[in-house]
Amino acid sequence: MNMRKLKRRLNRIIPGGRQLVIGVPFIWLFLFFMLPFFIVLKISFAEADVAIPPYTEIYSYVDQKVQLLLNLGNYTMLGGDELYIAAYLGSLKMAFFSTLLCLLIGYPMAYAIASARKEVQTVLVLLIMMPTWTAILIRVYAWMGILSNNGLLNGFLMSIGLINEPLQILNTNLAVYIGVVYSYLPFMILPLYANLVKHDNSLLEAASDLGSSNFNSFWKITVPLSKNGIIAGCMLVFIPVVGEFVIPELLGGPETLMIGRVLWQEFFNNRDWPVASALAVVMLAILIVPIILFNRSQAKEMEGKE
Amino acid sequence: MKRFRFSSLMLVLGLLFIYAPMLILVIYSFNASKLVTVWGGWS
Repeated sequence: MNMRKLKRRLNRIIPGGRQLVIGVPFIWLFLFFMLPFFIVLKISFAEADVAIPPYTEIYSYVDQKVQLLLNLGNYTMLGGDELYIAAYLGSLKMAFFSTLLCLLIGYPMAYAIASARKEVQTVLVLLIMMPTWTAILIRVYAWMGILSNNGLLNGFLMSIGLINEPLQILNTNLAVYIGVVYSYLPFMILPLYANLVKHDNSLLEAASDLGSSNFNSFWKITVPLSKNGIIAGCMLVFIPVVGEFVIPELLGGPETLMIGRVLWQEFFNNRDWPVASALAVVMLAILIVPIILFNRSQAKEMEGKE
Repeated sequence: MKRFRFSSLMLVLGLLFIYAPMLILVIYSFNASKLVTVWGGWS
């Protein structure tokens, strides 16, 4: 009797197989997400210094006293400088409009895939996914060749006589929009397709039996039912685009002010790690709302499956 | 079924949009010219 009690107590302390299985992802997230985030948070409260690494320690232990020195100057500087605010707003604007464009292009594509025959669907999904297996850098380089002043697009337009002198597309915001929509379109289509393919066709048939027009039943049945897919797709595009660096750096010009580029400049050109870290922390704080939205839509999607 | 045709058209256009740059990249990898965007014959 006593032994059994002891055993039960031991079982409660020593993790069983179930806890181990759940624990592995938690350890993973802790090591590769929480820990790096706290390091960035720590650096954001330090001061820039000419040293290796180039910032001051925020705590010190002298004369048996532990001192914690938090420098809030980086954050007040972010709020006070128009450049950083403009960069945040520029990133959010870029992310918002490219998400909207991706949705407008991606929704009909996902709808067409979902309404195709089963064998064709697999091929089409593979076709959508395949470009993401190529390096994004190479695909963006291809766009540089197309959009530049003596590139393919301008050459074509001039050869058919539509324009006399090349259009300046590369190094403008338009080129960044094209590059972002191009790179993130698959991330919009796949969640939308995964949602649309599960829809029950009999609802649409019932609507058309009752005299609903095609567009009306699409707007009142298909769109509301695919709400979670739309949210998931939009967030999968919006969240990474806010922090995007490669596309605005290669395709954008001096007018393209985005937070990823400012962060890079602070980190590598200015060597001001604390300000760069503060920029990253504020960016994460801004992104928390869309991340929560995304998680909730995913949870709802999972519930719907069972 | 007009709606179906519109979405299929978008699918074709979207796939063209996705694959045209990659195709151009493949073709230009045979470019003899030193400049990336200027065609200088096959290599």
